[in-house]
Amino acid sequence: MDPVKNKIAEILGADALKYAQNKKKGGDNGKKGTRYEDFYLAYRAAEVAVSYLGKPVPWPSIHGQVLGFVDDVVVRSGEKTEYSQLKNVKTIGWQTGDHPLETDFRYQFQVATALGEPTPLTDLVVSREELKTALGVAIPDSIIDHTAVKYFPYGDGSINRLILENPELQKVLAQLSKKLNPTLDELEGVLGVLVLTGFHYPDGGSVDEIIRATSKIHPNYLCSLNVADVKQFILPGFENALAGITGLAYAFQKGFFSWTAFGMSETFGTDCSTQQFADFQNQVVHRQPMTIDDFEGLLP
Amino acid sequence: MRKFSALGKADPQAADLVNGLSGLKDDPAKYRNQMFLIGNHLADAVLPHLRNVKSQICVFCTVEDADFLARGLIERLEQQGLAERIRLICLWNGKIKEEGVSLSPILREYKETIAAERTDFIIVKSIISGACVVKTNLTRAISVVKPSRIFVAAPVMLSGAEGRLAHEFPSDISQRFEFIHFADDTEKNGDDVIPGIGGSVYELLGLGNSVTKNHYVPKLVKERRSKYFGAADLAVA
Repeated sequence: MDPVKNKIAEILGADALKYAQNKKKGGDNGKKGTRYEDFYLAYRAAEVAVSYLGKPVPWPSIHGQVLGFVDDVVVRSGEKTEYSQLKNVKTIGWQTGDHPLETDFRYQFQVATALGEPTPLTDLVVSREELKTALGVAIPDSIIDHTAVKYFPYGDGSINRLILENPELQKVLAQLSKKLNPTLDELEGVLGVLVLTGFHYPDGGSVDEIIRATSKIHPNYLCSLNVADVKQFILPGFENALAGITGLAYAFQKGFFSWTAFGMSETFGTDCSTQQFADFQNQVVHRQPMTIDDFEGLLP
Repeated sequence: MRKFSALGKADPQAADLVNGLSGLKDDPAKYRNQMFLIGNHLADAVLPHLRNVKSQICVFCTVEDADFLARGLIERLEQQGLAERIRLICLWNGKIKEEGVSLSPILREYKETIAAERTDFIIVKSIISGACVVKTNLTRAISVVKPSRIFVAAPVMLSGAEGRLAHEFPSDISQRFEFIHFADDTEKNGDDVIPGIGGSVYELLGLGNSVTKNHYVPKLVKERRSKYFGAADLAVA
């Protein structure tokens, strides 16, 4: 038997375990790609990634729909374990319903503590700001030491609208974009591909692994974790060849090669560490294009 | 099932051109010309909205539509004396569609300078079905400038596309949408609208598939970048 099941049964009893197991099954409802839980899981992965970018330490792991009582999203690091319960509803209270949130949050803390998890925290995440305020001032004393209420918007099921309507989300996602100054469609893409990769990791995984997998499956949006020093990937003669192209300006940013010329602009599809980019560089060095038309002809 | 819009009923020639698209499956040259002519008619339909204002007109198109539908629209507007007001943004879109998530990453862009204020957008597209490409390209557009009006111009729209597109934007943007189209189709077979525009527009235009069409650099782009960015030595042939 898995240790979480064991611990729930041991300290809270068989009925609580049955409830937790049913809760996990119930969490998979809704249309994939438009679910509040999918959006938040992807956004939390982005938030964690942004806070660990460039840090030479193990990254936290993230998981959706775990077995437990506060079970929608869990972020585990060496320092803390953050459980989040998501509620995309108009109204809810701490003590309402057959299974009040207060009980769930108290149970989750008990189980996590009994399992020896570092600093267990429980968050309630809601999609309405006024509900966040109301619940935030009414957190029961029994759970207040480890509980917070957070606001995360829903965008009515549209990732695009979620991004357009929320500048705070834009700031986080921009840091994960492969562009220095990403446009709004590119931010939609950052969150969108993270949502998709979340489906490939039903049991969760470390956030850096998820980011790398996302870049591999959908290389169009995220910054590179593979390129610390872009210079090592630039072939001799590549920049000299670029300098010979009339009107072309270029840059290496966030691990990617970008160019502009005569109103055209593009960021190369894969990062500078890839074979595709090496092949492209070889083509440019070999062919020595002089015009934008010649250069465009070499792009994959 | 096809139903013509009020604009389609008012312009029987446009309606005939749209109906004729599905009969041109093996003739890219004729299909291209038909799209160009439909672009002329879309311009005629949008023109009354543009005459009495002095705003800049920013035409957004995809790489596959640029030389045909978009050129037809732009040239007709130019013939009507609006050339100085027109700017072009052409976008090369990729496609990601899985698990309920649809994205159309912009892989490359051609963009002329747009005024920060008093700009009308015309998003021209051969067909609007799921509205994902239009969503992406319009989102790119509003990243740069907040338009006065947004015309979404297409020969054919899948029924409900207006609502799907509006749902992707906050109301301060979606309330500016004005749809210019000739036919509403209600049926789909896989990704294809029936009868729609006869199938995959890239293939019908002779531009290959959704990947190879992105290697194409439209003549319209070459001509305009030469003119607007002073690159006299650029090839436009």
